[in-house]
Amino acid sequence: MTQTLSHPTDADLLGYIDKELSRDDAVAIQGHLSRCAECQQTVDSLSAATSDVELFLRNVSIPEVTAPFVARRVRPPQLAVIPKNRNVPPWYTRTSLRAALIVCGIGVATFAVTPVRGWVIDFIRNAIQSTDSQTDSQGAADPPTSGQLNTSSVAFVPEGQRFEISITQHQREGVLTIVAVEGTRARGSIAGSGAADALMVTGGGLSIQNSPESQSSYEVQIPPSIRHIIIQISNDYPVQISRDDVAREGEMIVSLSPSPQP
Amino acid sequence: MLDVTVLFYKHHEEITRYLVGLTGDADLAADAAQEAFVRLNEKPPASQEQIRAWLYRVATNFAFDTMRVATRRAEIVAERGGDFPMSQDPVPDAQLEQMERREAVRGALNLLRPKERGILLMRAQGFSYKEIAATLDVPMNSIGAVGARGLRKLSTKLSPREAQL
Repeated sequence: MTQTLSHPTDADLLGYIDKELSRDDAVAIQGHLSRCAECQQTVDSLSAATSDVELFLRNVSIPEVTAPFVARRVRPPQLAVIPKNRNVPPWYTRTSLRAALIVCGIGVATFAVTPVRGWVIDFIRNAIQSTDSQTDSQGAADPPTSGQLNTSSVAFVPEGQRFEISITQHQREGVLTIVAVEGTRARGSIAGSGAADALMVTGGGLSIQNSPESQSSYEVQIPPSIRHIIIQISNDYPVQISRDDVAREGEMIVSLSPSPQP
Repeated sequence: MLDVTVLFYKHHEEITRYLVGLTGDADLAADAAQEAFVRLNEKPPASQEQIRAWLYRVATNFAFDTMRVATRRAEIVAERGGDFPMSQDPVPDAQLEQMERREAVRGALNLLRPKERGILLMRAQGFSYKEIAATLDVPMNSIGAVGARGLRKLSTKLSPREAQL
């Protein structure tokens, strides 16, 4: 209560009517009202106006609730249901296509990064150099560089029906496989001899188990019908050699490069 | 578990009455009341105490927001004397005076400020000052003063003689 000696404020009187005052303030107001007809008249007027509001509220007509309130809420527009298209590929095909697109996207994005692009370009350049060395019949075997420590050079010397194969710079263990090619398919047989760790004639060609310390010269018999051979050391890139090329050039040296590790 | 249906049938009518008095628009009152219960159904308050006050607060805020958008609404209501819908049931002549009194209250309430009107209506619904302050976003220590001012305006409009208070 803000005024105890003089008249209380309207807020105090309303608080008294609404029973919002403390007990002491309410007692003080009650005592003042018993002595002050003016304040008592104010209380009566405020109470009468309050009663008018209450009477008004009791008699206000309200809109009839004709349906549950939740049902009256406007529902958001529903998306149209698209009928199932029978031509749509199955989910696994769509998923695979999406995965392929993502992989391609990542590849393109990765290639756009300058360092990665440099690596790819270097890799392609090395591959081209390797191919060039195969076709360069006059060139000597390239000395291994720091990036080609595992490169092996295979020399072919034609002697009639025989090919003498000399493996140089063979700095690692591996299996030299020589496969006869006839047409587009590997077939035929190749016989060989030499002082290798192992010399095997397989169904499709010749396999030589070699080690860096072992003898690296072999004689390989290739039937005249075989026009091409494929040589490969372990899982290196396979290289195809033409008999005619070897015969024409007299000697052919092929560098075999390791395939990149997965 | 909150039973919205029970709360709806318990409070919907009184809230709608309050909103009709607050807004002077029966349709807006119905919308605001419905909005309060829809929000109660979809996202109820963390505390289930004082649900009634929470419903009043949501409905009041919705009504005030809507009224602010329709800025000319008060002018239109004032021009045509408001559209508080009153009961249309036939009444005996003995109640005619009471009906006229209600019409006068309706017109007087319509001239009050929204906050004043809200305080008077919530008082009439039995809310405490604390609940009124929280619902109408009015300082609690000003509820008495604003309410008394509203009642004085109301008395002045209802009976010019009472303006001599």
